[in-house]
Amino acid sequence: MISYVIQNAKYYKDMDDVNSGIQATIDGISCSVPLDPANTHYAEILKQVADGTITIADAD
Amino acid sequence: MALSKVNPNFVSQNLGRRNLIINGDMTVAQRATSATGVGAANGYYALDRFGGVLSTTGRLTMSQSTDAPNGFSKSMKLDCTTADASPTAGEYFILQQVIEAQDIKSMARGTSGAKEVTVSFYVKGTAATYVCEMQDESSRELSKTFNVTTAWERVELTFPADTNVAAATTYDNTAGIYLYFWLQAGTNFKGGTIPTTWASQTNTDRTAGISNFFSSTSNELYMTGVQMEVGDTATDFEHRSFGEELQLCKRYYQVVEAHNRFRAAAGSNINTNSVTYFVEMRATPTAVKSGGIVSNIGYEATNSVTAKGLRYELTSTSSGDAYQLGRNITLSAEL
Repeated sequence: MISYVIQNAKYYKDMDDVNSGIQATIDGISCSVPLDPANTHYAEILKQVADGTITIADAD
Repeated sequence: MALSKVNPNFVSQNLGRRNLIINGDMTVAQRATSATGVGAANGYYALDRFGGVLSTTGRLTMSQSTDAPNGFSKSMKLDCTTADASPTAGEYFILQQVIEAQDIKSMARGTSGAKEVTVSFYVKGTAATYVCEMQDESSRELSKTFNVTTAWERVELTFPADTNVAAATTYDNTAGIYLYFWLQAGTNFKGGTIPTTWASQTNTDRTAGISNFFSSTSNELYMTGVQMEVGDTATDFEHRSFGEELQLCKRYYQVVEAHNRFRAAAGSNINTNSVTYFVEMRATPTAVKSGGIVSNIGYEATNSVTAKGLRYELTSTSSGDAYQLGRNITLSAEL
C-alpha cells in the first residue's frame, strides 16, 4: 500500500452535525477523506494515528 | 449425411478479457499528460492506474508519449531529470499497478489449481536491466529481470503458479496483486539471489542485477502494451476501445463537475445537491475540490460520500445570489 504524508487532519461535520469525513492535507493537497477503511487514504490515516505519527483534531 | 461433432477450434487463452492490467496501452491520462518532479512523493501522477512507490532523491518526468511500437499510439515516457547516481541503502523507485483481489480469481492463487501468469510489455530506452516483481497482500513475491535496449522490444515473463495456501486470496475490492517495475534499488533490496519460485519477502533477494534509472539525467524509459494474463504464453496485446479503457480507469479515479446556484434569503441558507459519478468506484473515494467560480458561499462540503455518489452541501454567507459554478470534484479510490 502506498504511504502518504498526511498533515492537518481534522474531522468535518455535515449539516446534521455528524462527522462526515476528515479534511487533511495529503502530499500537499487538501482532501476530504471518507470514513471508510476501504479508502486507502483513510486506512493510512488510521495507521498513522495508531503509530502515533498524527492525530485527528475534532470538528469545529 | 452423418452427423459429426464439431470441436471449437480455438485456444482458450486467446479469448478476450484476458488482460488484468488497466490502461496497459497508456491511452488514458486523466490527471495530466505530463507530470514533473516525480520521485518526491508516492502516488499517481499522469498515466491512469500507474503509480509510484518510492524513497529517492532522484526525480523524473512522467509523460504520455506518441512514441510507440507498431499497433500502439501511446506509451509512458520516463525521463530522469535529477540524478541519484549513488543511492543510499534504503532508496528505491517502483512503478506499480495494483490489481483488485476480486479480479484475480482466474489465477486461483493458494490452491492446487493455481495458474501460471505471464506478464508482457514493450519497452525501449537507455540500455539497462530492471526488475518486474509480483507481490500479493501477504507479501509473497517473485521477481524477474528484464533488459531494455534503444529499440522497442517486447518482454515476456512467465511467473510460476503459487499453490502455497498462504497465497489464498479473499476476492474483494482490496488489493490482490501488486505488479511492480523496479527502476532503482539501494543495497537493502539487492545483494541476494532472485528466487525461482514464490516466497515470503526477503528484501535483499528482490532486485539482484538491477540498474539505476537515476544514474544519469540522460536516462529514459518508454513502456506500453503492459499485459498480465493467466497462462504460460504471452498472447497478443488485448486492445480494448478507448471508451472502455476510460470507464475501467474511472473506477479508481474520476473528475466530476459541479454547478450549484441559489438565491439566499439570508446567511447560512442551505443548498444541497446530489452528485452521481460516471462509474461506481472501487470504494468510497477521497474528494478534492478545485477550480470554478465561487461566490457568497460559506460552508462547502462533500457529505454522505459513497462509491456511487455524494451529497454536495453549501451554505450562503449572506443574502443574495450564491453559487459555485464549474467546480471540479476529483475523486480517488485508488489502491
